[in-house]
Amino acid sequence: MGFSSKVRVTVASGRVTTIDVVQDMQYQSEVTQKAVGAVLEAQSLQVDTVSGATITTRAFLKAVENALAK
Amino acid sequence: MMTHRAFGRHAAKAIQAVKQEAARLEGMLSRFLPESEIAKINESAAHAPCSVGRETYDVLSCATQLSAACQGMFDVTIGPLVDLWAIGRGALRPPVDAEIRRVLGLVDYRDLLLDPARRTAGLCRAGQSVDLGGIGKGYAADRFLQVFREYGVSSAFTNIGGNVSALGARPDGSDWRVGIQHPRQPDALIGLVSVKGKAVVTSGDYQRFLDDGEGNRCHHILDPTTGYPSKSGLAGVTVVADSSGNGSMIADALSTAVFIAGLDRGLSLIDQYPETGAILVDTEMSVWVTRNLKDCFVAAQGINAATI
Repeated sequence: MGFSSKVRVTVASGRVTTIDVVQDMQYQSEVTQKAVGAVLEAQSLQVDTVSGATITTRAFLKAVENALAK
Repeated sequence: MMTHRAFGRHAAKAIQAVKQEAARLEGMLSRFLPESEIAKINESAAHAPCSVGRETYDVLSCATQLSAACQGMFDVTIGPLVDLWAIGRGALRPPVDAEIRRVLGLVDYRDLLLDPARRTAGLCRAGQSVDLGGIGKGYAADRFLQVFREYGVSSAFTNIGGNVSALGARPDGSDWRVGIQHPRQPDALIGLVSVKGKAVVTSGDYQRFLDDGEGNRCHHILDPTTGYPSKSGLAGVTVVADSSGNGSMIADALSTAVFIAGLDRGLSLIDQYPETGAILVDTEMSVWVTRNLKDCFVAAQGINAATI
C-alpha cells in the first residue's frame, strides 16, 4: 500500500521533457511536485534499468520508467 | 523479480521463451527442488557420484573454476553454511561459533569431484552440499541472452533481481544506461555506466540485513573463509563484464568474491579478467572505479569517484 499519483510524461529522444500530474493524491501535492522536480533535474542520470543488490521501485518512478520504455 | 526488455520483430515471442527458460533452469539447478540434478548430487554426498546432464555438468565445472580463481572467497559448496544461517528462510540470527566452525569444515569446492568421461558429479563427505546461489542468476542471464539471440533479437536487456545483462545496444544504436544503486539511499544512484553488450552485476550489504544491536549490519553475504557475514569495509561492488558466453555468470561470482575480499584483494581478483571492471563503494560511501570503466561511468551529483 502506498500513496501514488498518475503522471503524464513526455519523452523526446529517450529523455523526459515534461511531467504533468494527471491525478494527485489529496495530501501529496507538495511531495509530487518535489518528485517531478527531482526527475527533471536528474536528466543526466536517466537510466534504462538499475543494477543493485535489491530493487525498490516506488510508484512514482515506476510511472516514469513505463513511459520511457515505450 | 525479473524485468526483460527486447526489441525487434520477434521480441514478444522471445520474452515468452525467456520466461519458460527461467522455469526450466529453476527445475534443473535449484537445490531446494528434490527432483533437480543439484538436489540429487547433494542427497548422494559421500555415496556414489551422480550422472548429470551436459548443461549441469558445464555449470558445475565453471563454478569450480570460479571457486579456484576467487581463492575460496566464492565457493560452490557453501550450502551447509547457508543452511546454518538459515538464509532464504527469513531468520537471520547468528548461530553459535562452534557450529559455524564445524560447518565451515564442510565448505571446500575441491571436494566436488567432476568426472568428464562419465559426466558425473559427487561430493566427498556427508553433509556437504552444492549451492548455486552465487552464480545462478548470472547463469540464467547468460541463457536468457542466448534465447534472445536465437529469436533474432539484437537489442535487449534482462534484469534479474538487480543483475543486469545487456545484449547489443539500444534500438537506436546508443549505449544502455545502467544505474548503480546507492547502498544506503533506496531512491538514489551512485552513478551510471553506459554500456553495450555488458553484464552489470552488483553485490551489496543492503539486500537483506538485520542490525545486531551494536550497530553492525548483519547482511546475507557469507565469507566462506570465516563462516560469518563478510566485513571487508565494502558496502557495494558492481562488476562490469562482457555479456557474451559465460560473462554474466563470471560477473555474478566475481561481484560476490570482490565484496568479500575487500578493496585491495578484490582489485587483484578483477585483474585476472582483463576485460572486466568494477565500481566499489566502501562503508563511508567513497567510490572507486577501475581505470577501464573511466569513460563509461558517470557519477551522480554529490558523489566523488576516484579512478583506481
